[in-house]
Amino acid sequence: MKTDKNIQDKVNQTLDVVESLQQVKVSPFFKDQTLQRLFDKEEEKQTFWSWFTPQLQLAALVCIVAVNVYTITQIKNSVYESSVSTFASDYGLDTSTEDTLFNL
Amino acid sequence: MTETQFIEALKTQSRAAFAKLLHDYEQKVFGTCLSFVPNKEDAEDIAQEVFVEVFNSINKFKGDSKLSTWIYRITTNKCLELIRKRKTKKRFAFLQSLSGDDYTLDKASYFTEINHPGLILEQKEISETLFLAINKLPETQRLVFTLSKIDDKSYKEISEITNKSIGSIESLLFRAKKNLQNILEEFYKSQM
Repeated sequence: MKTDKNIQDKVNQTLDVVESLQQVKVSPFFKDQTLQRLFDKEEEKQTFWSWFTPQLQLAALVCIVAVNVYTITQIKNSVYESSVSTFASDYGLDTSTEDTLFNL
Repeated sequence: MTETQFIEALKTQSRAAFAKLLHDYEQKVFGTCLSFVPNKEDAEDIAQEVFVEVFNSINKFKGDSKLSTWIYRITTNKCLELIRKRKTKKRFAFLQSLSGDDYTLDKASYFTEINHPGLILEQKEISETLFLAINKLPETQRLVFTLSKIDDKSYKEISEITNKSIGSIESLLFRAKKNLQNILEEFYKSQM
């Protein structure tokens, strides 16, 4: 019986301990450290890409597409013609240089 | 400056607005963190994470609740997240507590080293026992008990933070106290 009362007293004492918890002050450097963490990252991000505005991004994209289209059309024409003539001369099919009995 | 104007200033991510936010809330957020995580360093880390989250998510804040409620919601979520993460790391202790007959309030299985500067020295051991006992409560009971008894929030504030009615807050608090009573009784019995 006495033990039960002792246990109950201890339980009550433990539950009452919340009343005696004292307020703890946050570190005086907390505000500055947090502001530094928030804005240093932001500034770093901004200075690296800030010059590359959306308008500039669009202009760069248009330029890249135009250059690619032009290059592809040029390659198609010149490569096809030069490869056909190289093939013809390699296998002796070039009509201008061919010697036959009829040309003599 | 009204709250709406202040929120608009925060949305522009102005340094001055965040300096004011930190000035107004650093102590409150840190206090709440320390109520859940009784370790000064851990509590400061979580508090910093809270402000980073506010900074990153302020544009998603629709103003459905007060700014303070929204910040406290982020704070409690961050604290519970850390506790959950650390608890799964201490898996063995966790499995022991699942068996249901574990009345040990063992510091080794607690998710952090208890280092609460607000504990009175003479009551240090008894306060630690209380924190270890709270750790055994289900998450919703722990949330309500901590906000009400340790962080000293009103039922209305807790109801806004947790999105629960005042009636369910009262009921959760009643069950939390009853469970704590049982946990502590069994613990002290096992000590005899």
